[in-house]
Amino acid sequence: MLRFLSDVPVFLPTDSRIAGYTILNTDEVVPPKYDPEWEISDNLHFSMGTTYLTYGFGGVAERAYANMEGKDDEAKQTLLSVAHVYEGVVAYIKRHIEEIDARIKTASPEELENLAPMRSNLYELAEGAPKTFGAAVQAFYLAWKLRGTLNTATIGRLDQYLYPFYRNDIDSGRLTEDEALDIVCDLWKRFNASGSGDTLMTLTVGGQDKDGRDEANDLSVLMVKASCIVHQPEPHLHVRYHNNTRKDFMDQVARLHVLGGGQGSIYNDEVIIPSMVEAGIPLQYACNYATDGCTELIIDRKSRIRFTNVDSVKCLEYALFNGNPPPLPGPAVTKYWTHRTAAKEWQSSLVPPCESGDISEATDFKEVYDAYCRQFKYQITRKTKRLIGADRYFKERCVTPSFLNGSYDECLESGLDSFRGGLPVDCLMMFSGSLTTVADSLAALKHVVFEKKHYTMREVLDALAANYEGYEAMRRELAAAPKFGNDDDSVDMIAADLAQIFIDTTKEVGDEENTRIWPALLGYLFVQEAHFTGATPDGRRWKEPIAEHFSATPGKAVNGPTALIDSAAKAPLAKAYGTAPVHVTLPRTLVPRNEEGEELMKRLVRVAVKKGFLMLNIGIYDVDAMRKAQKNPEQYADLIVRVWGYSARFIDLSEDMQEHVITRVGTQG
Amino acid sequence: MRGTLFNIQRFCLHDGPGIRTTVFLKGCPLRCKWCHNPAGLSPNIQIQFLEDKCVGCAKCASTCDCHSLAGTEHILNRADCRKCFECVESCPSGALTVCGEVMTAEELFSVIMADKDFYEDDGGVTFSGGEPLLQADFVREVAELVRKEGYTVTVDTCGEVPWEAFETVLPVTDLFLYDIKAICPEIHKNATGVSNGRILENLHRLDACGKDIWARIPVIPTVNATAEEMTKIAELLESLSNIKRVTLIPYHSLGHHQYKALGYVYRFDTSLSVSDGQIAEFTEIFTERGFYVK
Repeated sequence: MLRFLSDVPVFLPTDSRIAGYTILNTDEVVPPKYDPEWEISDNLHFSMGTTYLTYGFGGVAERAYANMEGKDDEAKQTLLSVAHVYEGVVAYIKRHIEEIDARIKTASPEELENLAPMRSNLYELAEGAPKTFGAAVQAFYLAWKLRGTLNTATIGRLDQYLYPFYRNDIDSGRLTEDEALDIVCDLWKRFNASGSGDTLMTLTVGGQDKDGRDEANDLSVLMVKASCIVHQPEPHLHVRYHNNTRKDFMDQVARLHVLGGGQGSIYNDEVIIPSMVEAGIPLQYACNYATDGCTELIIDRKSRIRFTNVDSVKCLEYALFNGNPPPLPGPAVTKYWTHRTAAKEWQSSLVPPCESGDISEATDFKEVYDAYCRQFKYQITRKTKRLIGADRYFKERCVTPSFLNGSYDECLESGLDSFRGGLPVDCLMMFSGSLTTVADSLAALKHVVFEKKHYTMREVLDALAANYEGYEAMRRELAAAPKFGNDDDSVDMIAADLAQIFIDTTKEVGDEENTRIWPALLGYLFVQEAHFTGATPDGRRWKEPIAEHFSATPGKAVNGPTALIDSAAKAPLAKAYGTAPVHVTLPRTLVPRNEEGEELMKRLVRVAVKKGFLMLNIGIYDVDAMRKAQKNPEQYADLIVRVWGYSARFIDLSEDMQEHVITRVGTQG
Repeated sequence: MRGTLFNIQRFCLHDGPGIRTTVFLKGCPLRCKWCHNPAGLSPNIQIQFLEDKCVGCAKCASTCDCHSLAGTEHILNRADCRKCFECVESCPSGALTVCGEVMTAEELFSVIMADKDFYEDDGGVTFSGGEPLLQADFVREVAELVRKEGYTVTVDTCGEVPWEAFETVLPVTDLFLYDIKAICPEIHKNATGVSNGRILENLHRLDACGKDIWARIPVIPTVNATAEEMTKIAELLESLSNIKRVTLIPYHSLGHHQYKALGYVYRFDTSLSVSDGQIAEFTEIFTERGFYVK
């Protein structure tokens, strides 16, 4: 890291007051390499600490030296590394100041407008802890870039940790609200210059403290306002809502919602905090949750995260064919999420299937349902155990980068690595999304095979193996069966039961292993899963979309958003405190970009929260615009859509992901 | 009491204030040539055949003589249909469906209440159609239940019903959406099959009752899409006291596929359209008289 810090050239942007590099050219700079005996690990999916805001970068080094006293050798070594790295950061900042001083002599008056405040902020940081809002933003940006090195990372509750600086400057008259807004917009633009899409740049605003007091502050409002003004994909703004959330904050959030683009996802404090507390997370930490870079929850600056996924639709294929599914019609080749990466072949991360029972002669729906549950529970159990094993491996074998360790209050005091007792909360998370597509499939079998008795299970299995070729009448009948998202209990309750099974099974396995497992109804590889899973009994052919998270299968919720909200609310969303995102997609024709549209957004949020939603994302899309953007991408660079835990430019998405998003709007409106 | 309806649409944002559930009742006294909701014309349950969904499996033909297949083309003899709807049960692909449903007031009420959390202070139910006041007693019974729960009731009417039907629903209705097609009686008769004497008389009587009214005016090329006719409508509305809003609805041909599905022939010219410029011009006719146009 030290070598890296001394190698990184100084970056003084000409269009911003925030110093620091945007994207590194790896030909010039060698990113940190570490002792191969110890694996250095940071998955960037959790927020960094903020000791540097309290003590300054130099102050962190001083404290690290001071805290070495009386510690064991490992802690001493950890703290010494922290001290060295933070001293290196101070030197890095001083190099910026020298460069500014050299440049100031010949700078034009316009250049001085940026360079002068930049110098004053950096000077504050070279001398000690930041005192002003501008210096605190500068400190955050430098720290955030250095942590991510070549990539970008979670931002966390930025409105909370920058607020004291903001309040102080406003109260002392040093800063006006408009000036603060300029600084925030400046920072937002720097975020976007670092990349957009699956960048982990999630920023959580609002929330409440352990006494139920509203923590949405003036800066939270300003940040939402900045997102409305800048109107770019980054940062992914996530909003914590509770019953006492201040009105001007939610008004501003509604303005963000009507812009479309899926920004401003709502997280419901009213169910999240009690669920976390019930799971044994102390209240003061539960109140401090944030999103982790995607839509999963972490404890801001108090936990790391490790996670794995159960592909629930692939599980269905395993269950239908007793662990021995027929070969796919072709290779499962698609791109990750953007067309900028190369296509590759994908495979499920499930463990080898168990024999969940031969159901080809089933005469009762229960046989099929039980077989699915057996396979699903088997996979959940095995994958949860693997996750716990991986976590143990990391705790034994890995260390945290010193720069990151030193940013946490707890690590800086104790000298413990963030992997080994340094942070107070453990976050091991199990994901399973697309349960709604599994429910659609099981409901279709129940309806068509076991109630109407139009086909036998054997015939359906043959049709699936043939990807429905030669079975079009059957496919249509299965496709016409009830689907999740239309407020129909016959399918919604299956989805709810599957969610309950997932939550219960992860808890059982965790309890056996004495480990808390956070359950999350989320799946981010839904496009890939649609490729590595063949045809399904909901009438879906190979490669056609499956649902993301706990949303409806794209295009299948045809009774409007209220019916979709009612469908999802039947599931135990509140108990999935890892996260339980439901995407509601509205056609642009229904939501005007005015006060009327804002009122509508507020209403949907109020009702969803009242019905116990854990997370709600509202996307407002114009299918015409998306189709045109596919033909003329350069004219639609500003079209922003929600992907999974983040928003991205529509034109950056892979072809498969573009189709997935378009299908979501489907037949609504 | 039972009513016959053909659709219940949740999350309607344009049929009155707030978030509403719109109930489309069957049966209409008018025969507007451009009607975009032909399922509302007949008061009876009908069979509906969607050609593009048919897979040519001929299962329907084995249930009833009304169906036959000429090659892969499905032929439906509606005249002999006994409305047993066994064919619908047999159809695997959803090509054959029943258009219309008989429901009790309590059944409909419970569907409307599914969205009660979304209605808040201003939302509720809108009765549309077809012409809902052809089933005024049924509307009243459901409306009473809805009002008892504190939600609002809107009735969307063409006005071509006996005044008694209005009297039946007046005490339980918060807002009327009143469709006005033309002032000139000949234009009206030619376009809708009936003259407008009773429609205009009912409008005046309703206005005198003091209930809020939103005037809804379909703007139809070759029928009323002229400054002259729009001015006449505006002048009429000016003589009333309770018109709170005017909505101009430009003609579109979106409903014409449904005609075929129901065995009707669409007789209006789908190539016609109303330009944004015309709508702006007509809007001006109303706004300059002080109306809120939306």
